[in-house]
Amino acid sequence: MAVERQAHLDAQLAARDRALAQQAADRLRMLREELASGEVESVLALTPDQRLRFDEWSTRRLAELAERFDVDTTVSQKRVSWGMRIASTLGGIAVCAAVVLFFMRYWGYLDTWLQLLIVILTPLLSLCGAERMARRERTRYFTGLLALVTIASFILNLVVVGTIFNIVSTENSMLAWGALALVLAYRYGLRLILALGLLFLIGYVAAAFTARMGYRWLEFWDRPEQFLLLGLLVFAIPLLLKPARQANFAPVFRLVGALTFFLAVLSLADWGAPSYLNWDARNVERLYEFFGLIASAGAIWLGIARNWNGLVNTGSVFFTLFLVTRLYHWWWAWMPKYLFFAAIGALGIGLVLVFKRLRASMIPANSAVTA
Amino acid sequence: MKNISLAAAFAIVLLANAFALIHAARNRSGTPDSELSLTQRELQYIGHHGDDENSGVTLYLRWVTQSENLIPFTTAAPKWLDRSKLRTLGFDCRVNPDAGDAVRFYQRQRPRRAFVAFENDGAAWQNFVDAYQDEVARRQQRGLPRDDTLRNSTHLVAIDADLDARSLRNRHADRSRVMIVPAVIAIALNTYPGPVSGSASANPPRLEGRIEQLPSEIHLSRPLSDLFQGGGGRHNEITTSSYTVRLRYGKLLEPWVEDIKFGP
Repeated sequence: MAVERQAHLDAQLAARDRALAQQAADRLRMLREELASGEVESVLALTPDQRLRFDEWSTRRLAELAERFDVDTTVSQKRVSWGMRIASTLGGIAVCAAVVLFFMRYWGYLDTWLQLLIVILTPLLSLCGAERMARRERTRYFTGLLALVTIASFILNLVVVGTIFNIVSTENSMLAWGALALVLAYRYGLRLILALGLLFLIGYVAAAFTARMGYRWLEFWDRPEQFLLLGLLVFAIPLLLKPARQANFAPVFRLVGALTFFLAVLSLADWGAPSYLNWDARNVERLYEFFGLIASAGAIWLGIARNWNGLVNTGSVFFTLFLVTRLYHWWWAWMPKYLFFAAIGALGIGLVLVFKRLRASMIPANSAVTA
Repeated sequence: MKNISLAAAFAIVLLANAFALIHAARNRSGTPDSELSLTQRELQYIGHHGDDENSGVTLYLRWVTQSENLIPFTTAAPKWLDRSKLRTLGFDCRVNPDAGDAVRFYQRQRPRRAFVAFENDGAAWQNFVDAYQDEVARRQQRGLPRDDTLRNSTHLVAIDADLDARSLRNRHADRSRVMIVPAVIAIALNTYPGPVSGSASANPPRLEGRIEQLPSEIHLSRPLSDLFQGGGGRHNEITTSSYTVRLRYGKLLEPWVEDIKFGP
């Protein structure tokens, strides 16, 4: 029975991505650490036989997870993995810059047909490299690096083709870049590439709308309300669509959507002139300041209710920004500066006390009794 | 791993390039919209030194507009880009320029895309020169120093604009002297149009249009770009040379250089 249950769990795990396997390994590691602590031993006493079987099973289980999904089974491994992610991202960016700059340095000495051949082949070859690495490694560090190079070389590709033939730039390039990024993200489970793709597509929609209205597409950032709506749409995608193979993509949609939304509100709170609202700029700024405060508070509440840590953090950052901005506009001009910062500090302390009370109210009743 | 997404990735790259190349081919097919002979005054080579990170060769299109104050800057407002013309270009001009809310009303209006006609070394340039020389003579009578700005100035003058390139071409049919280029035009409220000696009441606020942007960088491919390659001493020689460029604009109003001849 236990074997059948394990086989069923394995099949479930194998059907999902590495992120879920990592979560399982983290839970198991923490359980082992808790059971080894003297405090738990005084409450949950396992017999020596049970302890031995648990240790054997958990060791074997972690080894299986590491073998199948290449997950981190210790805290040290997790830290090293983070370092590898950062290194591969920075390395990828550096390689992209090198490819672009190398080409720009020498392309003027090449015939047109050779220029075209190089810029078209480069993203295709990078794509082949990414595919090859994806089939060989489970952790996708080099796959991610090569996917980034593929995107960068595709950007270079279309820019160079446009330059060679003096083509008037349009927003359609962003659609192509975004589509490629999305395809690569879903194929290889790359969250950074997904974020890049979403940003391109947000930019494309805003630029296309701007161009259809008769304006220059490059000024798509000119009316931030467009990004307000697009940010909300991207945020809502995981809620509207069933999650595909990549279950860990939903936080990326939420983060990109929330950042787009709040940055748009923040820019209008700072400078209301570009708003679609035909009001006095100051009134627009005040409106968006208060709207930003309410929206960020709502984001914190939603993040707590849905257990979305990223949204709680994003909401907290922007709540602080909107609050400080509003207080600055109210007080900076007439209040002594030391008093202004003292008031901000007092407000911060007040917020900590409020959150502390809120946090205490979330502790279940029976654990509150023992505390 | 299914290979559909891999095929899709390849297809995106290949299709995007196919679209771009077909677009370029369409632009260069058939009869060009215009073919002009421009000199180093109109198509300037800025040049690059040996340690430049970009080995591509680009010529920069230079043009002028005739404004009320005869300042030959490209950001000046052409006389013909007035309120009625701005209205035809899609700008909302219903508020009077001297109304109280005019400043905010016109500040909110964003630049719009249009097509601009440029005439090379034609009647517009001659009018410009005549008016400029009259102004120079008046300044000299007042004891102001002589002005030689026109000597090296481009002879390419913006003469008209429209939302429809075809209508613009119908009005300016000379394809060897007038080129039509996509551009961006902005509306501005000039609250004190000048001239400097005039009074505010004699110079009420006025709506003006400005040609803000147009594709002015023209890439040169080999073998024509080889004529401009070289660093050090050759760089100075190239940037001070005289040359004539045969520039074509295709059906989609995108340019390419057909030929370059060095020499006066």
